[in-house]
Amino acid sequence: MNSNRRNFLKGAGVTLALPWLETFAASVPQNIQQRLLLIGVPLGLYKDAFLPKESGSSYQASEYLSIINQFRNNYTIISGLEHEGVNGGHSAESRLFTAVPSHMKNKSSLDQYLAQYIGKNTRFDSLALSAGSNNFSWTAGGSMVPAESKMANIYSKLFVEEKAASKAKVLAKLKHGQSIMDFVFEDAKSMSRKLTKSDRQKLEEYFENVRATEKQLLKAESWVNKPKPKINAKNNFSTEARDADIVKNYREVCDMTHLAFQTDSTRIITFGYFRQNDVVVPGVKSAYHALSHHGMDKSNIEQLNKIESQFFIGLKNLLSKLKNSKEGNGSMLDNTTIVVSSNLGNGNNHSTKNLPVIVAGGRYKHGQHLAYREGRYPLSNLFVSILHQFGVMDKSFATSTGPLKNFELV
Amino acid sequence: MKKLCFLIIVSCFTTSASETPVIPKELTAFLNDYCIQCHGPKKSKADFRVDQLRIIENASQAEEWQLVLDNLHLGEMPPEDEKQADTKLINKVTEWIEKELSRARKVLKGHTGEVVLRRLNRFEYDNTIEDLFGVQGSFTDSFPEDAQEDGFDNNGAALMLSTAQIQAYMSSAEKVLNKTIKTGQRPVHKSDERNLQMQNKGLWGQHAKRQKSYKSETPEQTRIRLDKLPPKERKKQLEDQKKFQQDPYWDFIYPAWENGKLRAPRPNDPETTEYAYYRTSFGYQNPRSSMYIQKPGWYKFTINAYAVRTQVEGIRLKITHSSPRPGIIPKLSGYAYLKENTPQEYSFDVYLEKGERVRVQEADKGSKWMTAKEGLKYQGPMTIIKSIKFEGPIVKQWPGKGHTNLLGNTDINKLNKDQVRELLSNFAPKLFRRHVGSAVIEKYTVLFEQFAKTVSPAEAYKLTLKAMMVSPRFLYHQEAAGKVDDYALASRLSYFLWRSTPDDELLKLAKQKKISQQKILKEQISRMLQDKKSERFLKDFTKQWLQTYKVGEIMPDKQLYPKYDKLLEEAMVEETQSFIKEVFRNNLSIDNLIDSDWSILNERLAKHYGIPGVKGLQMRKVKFDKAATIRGGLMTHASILNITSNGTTTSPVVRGVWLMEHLLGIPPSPPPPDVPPIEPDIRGATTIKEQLLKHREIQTCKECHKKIDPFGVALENFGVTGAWRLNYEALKPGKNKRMQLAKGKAVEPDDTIPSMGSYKNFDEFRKLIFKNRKIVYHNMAHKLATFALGRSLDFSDREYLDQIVMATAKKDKGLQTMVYELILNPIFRKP
Repeated sequence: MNSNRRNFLKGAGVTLALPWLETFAASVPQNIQQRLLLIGVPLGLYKDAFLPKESGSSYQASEYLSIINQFRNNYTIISGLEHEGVNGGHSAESRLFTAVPSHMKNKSSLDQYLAQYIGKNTRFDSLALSAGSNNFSWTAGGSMVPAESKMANIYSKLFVEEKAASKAKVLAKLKHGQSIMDFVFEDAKSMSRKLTKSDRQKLEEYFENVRATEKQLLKAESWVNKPKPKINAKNNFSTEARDADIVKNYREVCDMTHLAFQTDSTRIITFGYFRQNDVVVPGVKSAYHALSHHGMDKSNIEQLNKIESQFFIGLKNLLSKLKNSKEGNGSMLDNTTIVVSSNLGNGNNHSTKNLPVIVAGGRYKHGQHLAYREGRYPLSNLFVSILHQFGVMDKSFATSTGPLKNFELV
Repeated sequence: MKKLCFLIIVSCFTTSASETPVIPKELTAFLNDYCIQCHGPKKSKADFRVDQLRIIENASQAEEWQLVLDNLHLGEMPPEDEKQADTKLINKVTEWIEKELSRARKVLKGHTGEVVLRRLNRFEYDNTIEDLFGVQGSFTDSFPEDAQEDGFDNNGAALMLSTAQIQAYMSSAEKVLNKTIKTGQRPVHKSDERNLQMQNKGLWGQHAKRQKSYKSETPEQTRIRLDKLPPKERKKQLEDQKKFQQDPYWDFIYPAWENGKLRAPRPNDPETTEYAYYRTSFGYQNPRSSMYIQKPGWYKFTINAYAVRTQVEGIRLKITHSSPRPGIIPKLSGYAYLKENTPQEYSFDVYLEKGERVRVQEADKGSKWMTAKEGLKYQGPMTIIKSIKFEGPIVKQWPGKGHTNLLGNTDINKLNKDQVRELLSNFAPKLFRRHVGSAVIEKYTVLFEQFAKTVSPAEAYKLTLKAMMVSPRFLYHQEAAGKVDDYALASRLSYFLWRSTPDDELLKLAKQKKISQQKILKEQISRMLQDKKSERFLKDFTKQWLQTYKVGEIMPDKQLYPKYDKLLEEAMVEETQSFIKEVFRNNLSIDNLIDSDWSILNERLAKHYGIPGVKGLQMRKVKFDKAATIRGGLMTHASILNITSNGTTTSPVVRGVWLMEHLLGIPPSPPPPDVPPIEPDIRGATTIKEQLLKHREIQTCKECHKKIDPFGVALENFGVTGAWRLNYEALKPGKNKRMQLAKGKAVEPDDTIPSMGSYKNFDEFRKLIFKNRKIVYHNMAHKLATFALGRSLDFSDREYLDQIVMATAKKDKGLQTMVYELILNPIFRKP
């Protein structure tokens, strides 16, 4: 299906002339679904159990990586990256995928930025889900995108067809919503004449969002009468978020991710794996957050490893599902770029340096541990590389200095 | 016209260059002698260069001078190990800077510290809806979270908007309107009083029904039914069957309590029988089906109960309400403090949605599940319930206040354009919090007309109102350019003290332009503080200023702090909230924040603090014997000590920064980008202070840490849960190699604050802070003003803050006095 493009990239390498690729990207057929999944682990990953000691392709799999080792050639471990100017420990969470320095107003996260380009093709521009948290998805205006933690609700949104009568109601509501947006836009305009300059700027934000909401309503209207995808999976998802059962929540979010991608309901998903307090994981007695501040204590670290291992077991299941789902000449995994990372390089002391990074799937040269000198490149360089893979040929993203060196496409 | 004015001001400033001061030679000499080495072209520590200081032309230049001034005043600069200037010279320098700042303030007035158009945050939105429409509900649940700036979530510049937010505004407006507009009959008030026998009867009914259905089975059906069951279940079913044949009432949920003894309940027990509530830690009070909540509204829930066998403490019942579905966090209705052997009625007004139920549980212990037979032998403390009464929905006014606001006596189904115009003329000023011109009313009336072409008048009216509720006129605090008029003042006042929309009286006074008169303003402040709505201000402000919402975010490690429990956690938050409330309501001196000879405690918290003589679960004011306890002042509150630690260890750095930011108002500069943070280590080999001292040996770390750490080191005698300790907690392998709690190294709570002096322990430290209490007053004024105005403050606000602090200190140093001074000060009316 996308062999042309592949051959082309192989031939030209990644240093091809930009304008060319741009036009090329524009002509990519719509049925090539490149997808993006961002996963944040806000409490970090215990380095000794995660990061391989060696770099390159013959690295020895660490405790965590041995869980997903069967997919070794489908992912890359990256170390030494950080976000320039992003600090503040947990408060760096909101910057993980935006890369905006802490003292500045937050802006688009990678997923929301990309959604502007590829979101229009699917019923949902993007989905923000939560396996315990998601402070990762941010709009261009610096507002957090609320995430859904009950997968049963997502199931209904994506797959349950409304009855004709309620469809009519939905349509009427969308139409009325548009009229209201139109009206308040004009109303606000007349108001803005009486305001100071800085107030007008703030009102500008209002205008932009009213217009954008109108667009969303229009898009929703155009999808109301398109049939929703039919799937075999039943809605056995939770209607309530049982917070302590982090493993189950995470599994459901992964299952939903797979279903949403498979049915092309969206091509962009973000979620976080988190729990502040007690978790239902055998052998774990203390709270997850407290354990991340293990204080070098052995028993704390053991418990922390158990919680983090569950993360990798879930990741393994997701990777297998994607790999086993055929798509074109390859698998869904080949067309899904997954980024796992954290705002903390070390949960014990809140360090925001040397962040853990896994990139799986997509069309990159995988199977290695790319170890950069600590602090040499910002993590946002990876985001530029990812955007390029999607044909969005931006030269930079927030603090980036270019695409990530040596991280290449196949 | 406005533009013209602006130009004139600017040109005045630039053309009068001859009058613009120059930096005097002495000052340049001072800077060259004492500052430029570290803050100049060669080295520019903290990213600050004195050679770039200029005569002030804009706010950021002023901020730089302010920084110099603050550092000189506090004695922070020049650093103690550098060449020191003599006091006279410093006084001369600070005098000049003050003069220059005050000149700049006048010139730059109106161009800095500006209010940014501020939207309602979640809390304000919820309160506004409640006060305006008289309806309850979680209307803001789907709103994206509000960002914090300068410690508060009502900062205009930080309150962003997104499409998700706008969509949420639309759907919540719809919910609000549907709840408000009631066209049906007044709901019938019902009342029902029962005892716990209803639960037993329910169970007996279930048993009877099941046995009846077994009886009607063919032997084949019975075999299939039993075969399907796991062996354990099968055994139990057969046993139950046998028991039922002997006595259909053998099983029960709540035993009767008679003459100080438990006995099995019988179906013909008299109405007055009392029942023991012991077997489950919770139970749904499931009122008879007729009382199942069909209509949302206010209900009165009354429980008549007492405690037995508890010795001293009594029992605390926690009353919550929620939908009975699992996974939903119940909302707290209140607590009933049961007394030993003294029956009493406890009533709660609860707002219930359809299908929600009230739930009662013993708050502080979860009893084990016991079978009926085991239960009869139970010897522990118990709740005895005489009766439970349920009444409602309680309707004070029908149709409700919101409905009347929106419709008066008009029939919504027959609305016409003229009526809508009239209704909106009345309602729009309330919703938009100011006078609304007829042109705007007309626009909305036309909108109604347009909608009415395709939908019913009722629907069209609701859609029109929905538009109004998404309009920036409602969502933002509107203040006309350049001046705060009476309406804007009313809104500022109301959103500060009530966290909500101005009421009719405030709007009326604003319309008459009276609210800006000092006398009337004072009267209004007093009226508003007496209103229950002012509790919202106290709670919200305290919660955010002192970050008490963070308590419980990180559970203290169970191995290190085995005594920590939910009861303590609740009391910790309650202490700080009630403490500020007590200081404010009684207008006590702000000094209490630094040190006090009292606090608000209950038995659990008092035990935690080692303070004897406090019995029972209720929080109350406790006088301290200061010779016997270290407690007193916010710094000894377990809540604050808890949120400044990470559940496992304490860090003087985190605590130091916290104190500097939240209590002292002298926030440290952020850490340089390339310094690795210290790695906490609880294995007992080194203490955090030892690590810090090492850290401080490094020259680049020293500069900041010698200023920060001393504010935290003093608190090291308080552990993660705020309990007093002489040694650090540590884990060491005990018998059978399992880790056990052990004594770690001794705490060394002594240090030196460069600008204040040395201390040996916490008490001496607190005295140092008390000596410097001016900064605490200043911080208090700063925090209150930031919260009240919903914006970041800058150098041009300084003189006002000084005035507020001075006026407060002169009077009685009272916290309430400060709030008055703040509102009466020009800063409150600064555009």
